[in-house]
Amino acid sequence: MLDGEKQVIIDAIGGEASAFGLLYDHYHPAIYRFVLIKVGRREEAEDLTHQVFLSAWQNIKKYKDLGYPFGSWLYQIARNQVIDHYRTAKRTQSLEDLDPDYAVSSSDDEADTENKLEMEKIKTALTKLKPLYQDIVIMRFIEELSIKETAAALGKSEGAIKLLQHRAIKQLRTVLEKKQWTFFTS
Amino acid sequence: MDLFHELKKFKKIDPDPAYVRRSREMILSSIPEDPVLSPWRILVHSVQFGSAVTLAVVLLMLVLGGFSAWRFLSPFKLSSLDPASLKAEAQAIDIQIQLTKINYEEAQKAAARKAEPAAVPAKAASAPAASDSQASTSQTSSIEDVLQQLAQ
Repeated sequence: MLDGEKQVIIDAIGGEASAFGLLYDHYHPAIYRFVLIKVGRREEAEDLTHQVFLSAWQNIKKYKDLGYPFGSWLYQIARNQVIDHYRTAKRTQSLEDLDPDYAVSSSDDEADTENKLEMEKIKTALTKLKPLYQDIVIMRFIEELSIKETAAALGKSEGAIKLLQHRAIKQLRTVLEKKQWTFFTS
Repeated sequence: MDLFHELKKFKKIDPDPAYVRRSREMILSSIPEDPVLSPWRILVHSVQFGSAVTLAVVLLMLVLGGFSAWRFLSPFKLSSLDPASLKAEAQAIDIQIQLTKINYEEAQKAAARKAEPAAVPAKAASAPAASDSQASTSQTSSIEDVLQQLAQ
């Protein structure tokens, strides 16, 4: 959460572009990662993330503070953007379609090949999960949002998030194990 | 493989700085929408609200009145809810039954009338058959006589 976020939001609602700029700087990387992991392609992720923040700025006056961080609202917009993107694109994403460099070019220079391979494996496994599980894994275990924040972003109860995160991780492990097994047998 | 540790590595993914700068400038140079409603929007909202309230009232009346309000308020009568029409319908069914009965009885009588004249030539034509029937009649009468005698 941004320091003095409430005041920054109030200023942004008042139409102060610099205040929204602060919010943009703080939340943009997380929203970008969220979108990128979900769509898999750098260009699409950039376009969609731009749309998320543009939409947030255009509708900032409709934002109501319900006690959750501003990020939860942005995640909601991002989720809708991704859903709309898949609805209009109407194409299935194959593994060949995924940008192979998106994790590689983003990780720091010291990351070794093994690390990159592991990330690639997890990234592919993540795309096999259903969208809700993907959202939960990204928010809870990559962005390390609290259960309350995740619940607010996904419109679910905190109890439901606890249960769903357990299922999501279990399924992710299953997909990874299957993948490893097929790798050795092929 | 520690899955949670591996997942945290994704946090190192960062967007291209050139794209971030460009996107930021474009967004902040746009003007946010003013949520203040225009007169046209106010009109549309009020029409929407009015129609929603009217529909809700009609629905409530139908639910609470159990369709009885329909009889008094609607210009269209529902025949299935009108007791007079239901009674008339019931009577019509009775009449139909009676008429069917009458038709049946008349048909029976007509059949009997047709059969009677035909019985006479049949008697003349087939003597043995007639004698059989006479025998059976006499036999019947004799049995009756016997029974009468027994009774006496």
